[in-house]
Amino acid sequence: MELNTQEEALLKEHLHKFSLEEKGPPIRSGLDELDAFFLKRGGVHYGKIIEWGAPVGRCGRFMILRFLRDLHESVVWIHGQKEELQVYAPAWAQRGIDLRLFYFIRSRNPLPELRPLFLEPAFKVIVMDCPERLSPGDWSFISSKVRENKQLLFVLRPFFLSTKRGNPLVSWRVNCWLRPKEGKYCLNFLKGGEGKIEIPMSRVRDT
Amino acid sequence: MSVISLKHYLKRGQALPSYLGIKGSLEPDEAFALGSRVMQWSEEILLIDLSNVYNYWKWAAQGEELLPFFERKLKELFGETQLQFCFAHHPFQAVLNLKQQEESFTCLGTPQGDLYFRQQDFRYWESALEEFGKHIPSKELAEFRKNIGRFNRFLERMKINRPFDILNIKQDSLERRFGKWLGRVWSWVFKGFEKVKPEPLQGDLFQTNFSSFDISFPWQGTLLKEMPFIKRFLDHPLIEWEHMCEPLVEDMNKLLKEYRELRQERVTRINWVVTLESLEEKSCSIIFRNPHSLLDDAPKFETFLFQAYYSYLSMMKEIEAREDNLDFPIRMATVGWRLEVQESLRTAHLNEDLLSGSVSSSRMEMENKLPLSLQSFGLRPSFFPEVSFGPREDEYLGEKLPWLAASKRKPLFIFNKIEPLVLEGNYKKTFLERVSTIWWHGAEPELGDRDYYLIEDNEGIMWWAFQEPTGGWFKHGLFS
Repeated sequence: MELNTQEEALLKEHLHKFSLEEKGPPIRSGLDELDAFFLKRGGVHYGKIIEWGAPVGRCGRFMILRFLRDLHESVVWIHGQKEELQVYAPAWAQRGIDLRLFYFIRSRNPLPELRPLFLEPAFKVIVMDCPERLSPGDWSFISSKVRENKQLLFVLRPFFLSTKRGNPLVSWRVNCWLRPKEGKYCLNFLKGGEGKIEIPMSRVRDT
Repeated sequence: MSVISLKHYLKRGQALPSYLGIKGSLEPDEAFALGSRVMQWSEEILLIDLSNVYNYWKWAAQGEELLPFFERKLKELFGETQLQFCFAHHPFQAVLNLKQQEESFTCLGTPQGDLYFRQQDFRYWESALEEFGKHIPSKELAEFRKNIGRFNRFLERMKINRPFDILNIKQDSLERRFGKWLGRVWSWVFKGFEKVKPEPLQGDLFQTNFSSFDISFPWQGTLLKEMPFIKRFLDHPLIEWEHMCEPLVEDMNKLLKEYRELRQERVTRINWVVTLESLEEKSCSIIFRNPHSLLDDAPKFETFLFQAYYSYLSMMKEIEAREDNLDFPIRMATVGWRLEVQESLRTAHLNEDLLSGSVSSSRMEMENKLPLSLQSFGLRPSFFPEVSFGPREDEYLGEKLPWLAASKRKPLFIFNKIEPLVLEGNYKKTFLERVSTIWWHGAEPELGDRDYYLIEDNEGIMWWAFQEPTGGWFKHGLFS
C-alpha cells in the first residue's frame, strides 16, 4: 500500500508522538551543538549506553555533568579511579549537581561487585568511571539490564576510544577532552553520528 | 520532672548524634524499639547505638527534623516517665551527661546541649569511671583504678575542675602518664567537638564499616532475650553457592513462620554459623546496613542472599588463605548451619504502611544489597577544600554557599593527601583563586594562605595545585 504525502506526514507525526510517549523527551546537555549530534540518533534516553573516552587530566568528565545536572533522578557514580583520589563535592555542586541525588561508590570491578545496581532501577543513571575489566559477558548482562530497567549508563574510559575496536552494545562512542590553549572542549563521535565538534569552555561552564 | 519544653535545635548542617543514653528504670528489651544495638551500661543507664538505624528513622520521620521527631517518639513510647534521655556523639559522653543531667532531655550538637556539656565537672567522672571499670578486661582493672587515683591527685594538685578547661592536653600524653584507658576516655569526651575532615571513599570490598561505631570503646551489646534461630543438617555436603541458596531460602521462610514477631521487626544482624566438612564451625555475620524487613524480603530473600553471599565469600577466602599449603579441594564443603537473628529493631509501634516510599527507602534497600555503602556528600562553609565538604547531613547548603562562585575551575577529584609538587620542564600555570587563613578561628598551621593554580604539564595533563606564601608548591587535585 502506498501512502500519499499527507498520510505519510500524519504517520510520521504519530510515530514521533508515540516514541516520545514511550521514551519521554530526550535528555539534553543544554548545549545545542552537542544535543544536535545526539539527536541524530534519536537523542539520549533511558535504556541507552554511552561509552565516553576521557583520559584523566583532560577535563572530559565535565561534559557528562551537563547531562546529569537537570535530571532530578538519583545517580550513582561508580568511582574506579586511583586510590589516592577522592571526590571533591564542592566542584560537583558548582557544576549544578544536586548532591542530594548523587551517590558515590568506589569499585574497580563493578561487575560482579555491584551487580545489584543493575538488577533493579533504584538508580536511573549509572556512571561507571574507569571500570577495570568488562568481559563480553558483563557487557551483554549490563546492556540487557539497562534496557530492561530503563537506566541510562555512562561508561567512562581513562583513555581515548579508537575505531579499531567497536562496541555493538553501546549507542554512542565519544572522545572528549579540553584544549586549554584554545579554551575549547573537543568531542569526537566515533559511533552514533560520526563527526567532531568544538565547544567554547566558557559555554560549558556558564550556560 | 517534666518532659522537655526547652527549645532544642541542632546547629546548621549538623546531624543528630549517633548515641542515645537513657537513665531510669527501663528494660533493655524496651529499648529495641529505638535501636538494634543496646548496651546495659549500669543498673540505671542504657545506651543505644543509632548509627545503623539512622537512615531508617530518617525515612520514618518523613521529612521532619530528627530531633523533634525523636522528642515526640520518646514521649509516645515511654509517656510522662521519670526517664532521662541524652543524645551524644559517643556513648561515654551520654553517660557523663546523664550523671549530671537535670532536664529530661538533652542533645549534644545543640547550642544548649554543648554549653551544658562544656560546663561538666570532674566530680561526675568518679562514678562514670567506676562503672567503666566493669566493662574493661578484669586483668586491667587494678591498673586502671590506680591510674584513676593518680589522675584525681593530678587534677587536685593543678586545681582543675572541668575537662574543657584543659583542652590542650592530648590523648597520647594522657595515655603515657595515666594509661591507655584514661587516654581513650579523654578522646571520647571531646568527640564531635573537634574539626571534622571528610573521609575518603572506602577502597576495599568487604572492608566496610557498617556504622560510625568506635571500636576502641568496650561496647557489650545486649542480645535479644529470645533469639529466633533455625538449624539445618544437610543431606549431603554442598560446595557451590548456587546449591546453598535454595535450602537457605527455605530456612528463612521457616524462621519467619515460626517466629511471627519477626514480621514486625527490622533485622540488622543475623549470625550464620556454618559447619564445614572438617566439622569446624565458622561464623558469618550477615549485616544489613539499614534495618531490613524479612517480611518484605520473603519469599525469595534476595537481599538476604546477597549479604549472605558476601559474608560466605569472605569467610571462604579466609579459609583458603589459611589452608593454602594443604592439599584440600578448592573450596571446603558445608555440611550444616545455624541461623540466628541477633539484632533487630522492633517496629511494631510504627505503621510503616503509612510511610510513603521515597528515594531514601529505595536507597536503604539498595544499600542492604550492596557489599559497600553508598556515599553522599554535603557542603560545609569553608574556603579550604579539605574541610569544605563531608558526609551528607540533614541540611543541604548547595548553591547557597557564596564561595562556590569564587573560582569556577575546580577539579572533580582531589588527592587524599596533599603532597609537594616539583615543577620541572615545560609547564603552564594559570592563577585561579587565593584562599586566606581563617585567622578569626585561631591558628591552624595546616590551613594557611594558598594561591591556587591550574598547572598544565608538557603532556597536557591538568593539575590543581597551590603555592604557599613561602614558595612551596603542592599538588591538590586532578582535572579529570
